[in-house]
Amino acid sequence: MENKELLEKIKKNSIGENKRDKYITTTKKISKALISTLFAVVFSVSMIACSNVNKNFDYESVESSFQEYNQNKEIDMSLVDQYLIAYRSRVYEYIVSSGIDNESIREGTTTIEDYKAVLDLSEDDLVFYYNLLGKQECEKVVQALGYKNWNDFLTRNNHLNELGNPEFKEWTNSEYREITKIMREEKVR
Amino acid sequence: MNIETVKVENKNYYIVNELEANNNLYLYLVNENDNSDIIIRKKVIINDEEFLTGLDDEEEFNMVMKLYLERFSN
Repeated sequence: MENKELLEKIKKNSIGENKRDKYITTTKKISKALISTLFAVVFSVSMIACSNVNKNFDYESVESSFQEYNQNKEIDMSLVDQYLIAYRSRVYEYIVSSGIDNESIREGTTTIEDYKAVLDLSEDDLVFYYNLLGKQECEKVVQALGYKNWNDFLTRNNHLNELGNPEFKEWTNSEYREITKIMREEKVR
Repeated sequence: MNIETVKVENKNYYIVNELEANNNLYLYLVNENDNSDIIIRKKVIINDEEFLTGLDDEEEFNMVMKLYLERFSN
């Protein structure tokens, strides 16, 4: 099914006040892989929806970063989309495999204590959390690692701009480096 | 791993995420038998009973999609 067609179907099935069901939940056990897939599926749809509304959403920065790091002017942007989706899926799988309760992530109520299970994670791994949870939520991860806040983390790890102030520039780029790496590995296969 | 499911129009859906905006709780649901069957619902309370209803219009749909992307990308 084409993206546009899929989006229209989701929109049609989601809109309508006459759609009403009693809210009764049950709990099921499913695999980590399936949870990752479900997350990726909804994420990809939200990405498609947003790019549909705002044509410049996200893709422009992705493209420029790819040109900067890959020097390849003929990148298939539909492939980039696929890899971004796959990347988010990997991020989520990583979080799940780290033992953090999925319920906590869904409700966004995770506390610093919950993140202490990942104290040994590297800076690259922290990028995964940053990209999945967002800056505010991920600050709890940073605090669990012993830093006061983001600025403290960036300063102590030398992520500084030319004025000596902490900034996320290198981190943003590292996400694209990761995607580039995945793409290169894929090309080799 | 455990995940909650909910019945919508007699089909079972996984509750992939729940996000709050404008005093509404939005649920992102994926059919347990078909990954391409994705729907969004919001939780409402009528006469002390909880229901899932469809969204008001396209504007609300776009807002909910943007909310999800923002929540998980920045």
